[in-house]
Amino acid sequence: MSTFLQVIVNGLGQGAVFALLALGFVIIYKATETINFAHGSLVLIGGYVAFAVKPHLGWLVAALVGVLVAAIAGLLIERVLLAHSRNASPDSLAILTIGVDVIILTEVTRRLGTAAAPFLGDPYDNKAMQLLGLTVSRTYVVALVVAAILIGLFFLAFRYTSWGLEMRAQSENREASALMGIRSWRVTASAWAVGGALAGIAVLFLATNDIGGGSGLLSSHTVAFAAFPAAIIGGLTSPGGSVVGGLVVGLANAIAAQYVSLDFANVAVYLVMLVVLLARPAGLFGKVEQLRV
Amino acid sequence: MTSPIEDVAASQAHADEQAEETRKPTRFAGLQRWWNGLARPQQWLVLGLVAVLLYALPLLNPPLLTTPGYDFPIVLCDMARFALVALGLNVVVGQAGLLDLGYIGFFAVGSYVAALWTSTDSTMVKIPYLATLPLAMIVTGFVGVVLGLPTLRLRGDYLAIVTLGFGEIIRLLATIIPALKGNTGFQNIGSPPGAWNGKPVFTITNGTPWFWLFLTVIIVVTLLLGNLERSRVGRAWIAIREDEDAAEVMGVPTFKFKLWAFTIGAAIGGLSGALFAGQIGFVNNQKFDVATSMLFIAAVVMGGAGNKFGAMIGGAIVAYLPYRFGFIADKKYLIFGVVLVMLMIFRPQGLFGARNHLLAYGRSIKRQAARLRRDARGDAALKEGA
Repeated sequence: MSTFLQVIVNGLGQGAVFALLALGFVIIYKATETINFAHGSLVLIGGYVAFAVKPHLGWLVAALVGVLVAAIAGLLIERVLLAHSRNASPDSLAILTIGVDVIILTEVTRRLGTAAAPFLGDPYDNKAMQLLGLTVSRTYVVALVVAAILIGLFFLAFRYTSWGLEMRAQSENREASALMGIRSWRVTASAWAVGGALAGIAVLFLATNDIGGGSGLLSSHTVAFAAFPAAIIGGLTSPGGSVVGGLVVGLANAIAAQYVSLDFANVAVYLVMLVVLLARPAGLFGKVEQLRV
Repeated sequence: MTSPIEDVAASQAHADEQAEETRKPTRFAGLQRWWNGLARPQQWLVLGLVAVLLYALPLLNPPLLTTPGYDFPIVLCDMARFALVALGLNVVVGQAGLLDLGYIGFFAVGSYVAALWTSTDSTMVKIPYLATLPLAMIVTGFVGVVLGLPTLRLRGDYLAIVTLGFGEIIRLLATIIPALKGNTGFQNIGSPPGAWNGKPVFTITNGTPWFWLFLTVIIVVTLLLGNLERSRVGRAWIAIREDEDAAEVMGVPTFKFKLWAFTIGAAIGGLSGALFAGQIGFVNNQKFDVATSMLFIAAVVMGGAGNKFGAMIGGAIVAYLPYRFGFIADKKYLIFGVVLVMLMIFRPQGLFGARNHLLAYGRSIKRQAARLRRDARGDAALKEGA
């Protein structure tokens, strides 16, 4: 029983990180209607900068700088590349983000080289703690708490601030909201910045021995992949759904890793995604698209 | 910032411009006019000459094209393989407009079919290598149907991610299923029969016969796809690509034809995978990563999605450049990343965009129109004379 509870805590902790990623992904999708395949490289660039700064300024400053850089990277992708091809088809934009992803991935991997695996979770990585009589890794608990706070803050902002209102209005109808005086570029740009920042926070937990595994930051791009099925499970258009999707993916991953095999865990995530899509083609909370021809 | 009205106007103008771009004379306008002016048998003759030239390439080893440091026929095989993959992926991405990011999965399935039934490391029944080619197509086509049935109901955005996941699943399955031998892989994969002076023709060190085999397969597949494109199926694909809802309303069974595109694309991917397995003689789980899948997409997009010749050229270029210019080999992903970004910003239709001419009767209608125009001009000249 205690193993099972442990697995659940691990799954929720991992799931919270995936939820952060999937939430950023969905925010970006809602604002630009673009699948951001470069989300994994936002993770990577934030982690890389944090890792580079860490020896000089300490963990906390490095973490803050990393998050900031990831946010700016998101902002730049939108402002420099996407804003200039607004009229292109969504598929072209998706392929564009693939190109960006390939560029950042190869460059950061080259810079990291083959030296010792970089880790970012200094204050909590590899430290066990007692929780209600269970022994769990501290990373999962910290990740869960941080993610809960951030996601809570996001939904409060989304519901009550004018920024959230603008964002919801724009995703409802771009033209109408622009006619009502909402500056659409600000909403779009801020969505990318928020998505980037969330990715920058997620990497602080991904590049750890507990979640990311032995190669730390090097594998975080691959691990962050799970954010895509998470967003799909929740429904691409639903921020709340993405959080649920993230937790589902985290739990599926942890349960499969414990009771079947570590390799099967990744397959399990995609199997869950396929099952969900079979039952609900637009994801659990996604809006079924109805286009006017 | 621009007003929404200007926005709409701009996007309309952009669409018009793109439509115009495919109509207005390109750099190859002279070539194109010359080509369209030729009679059908003359066109076949020219194509035949080009084919002969291509077949002769590994023997000629032309000085400027050759690849220092690499065996040229082997490089040609790689180019032909990418061209075949691009040809198949073009059916899915270019013709039917389904963004398939997991095409490497089909390629992998084809490779493993060839490996399982011919390699000495496999415990399965052995069959002749050439028999695995149609078998690979059938198996991957079937996988395509299995994957397509649930996912093709989805809108494009979902499909892209699901196919990406599929590519990952196949790679992971190759790792975790013991029968597929993970990293160890399969050696001594079979090859077509045939001997010359007592030595076997198809070996892993001699690229020339493999290149000829690849080229023959490409020519056959191109001819078949060309016929398909000019049929009801091809017209349905283009209708779906341009506007799926409108196509559905006009009575095109979109799901059925999307599934067709997916299956045919998958079968060609499997075929190229099986050929690849035979040519290099070794298959393990390291060859089927997502990055290669992205290279496939880059090839199709670069050549021009929807134009099969463009896609093939794109595939050949993507495979060729790292060999020709050795110093870019380790930066090839970086370079193709930049190329993808640049293309999507400045020329989303690729180097050779698709031209949507009237498909089935296009040629005869064009000729008819030209005759009418000529007659009208003749009439006008007569009147002027009178």
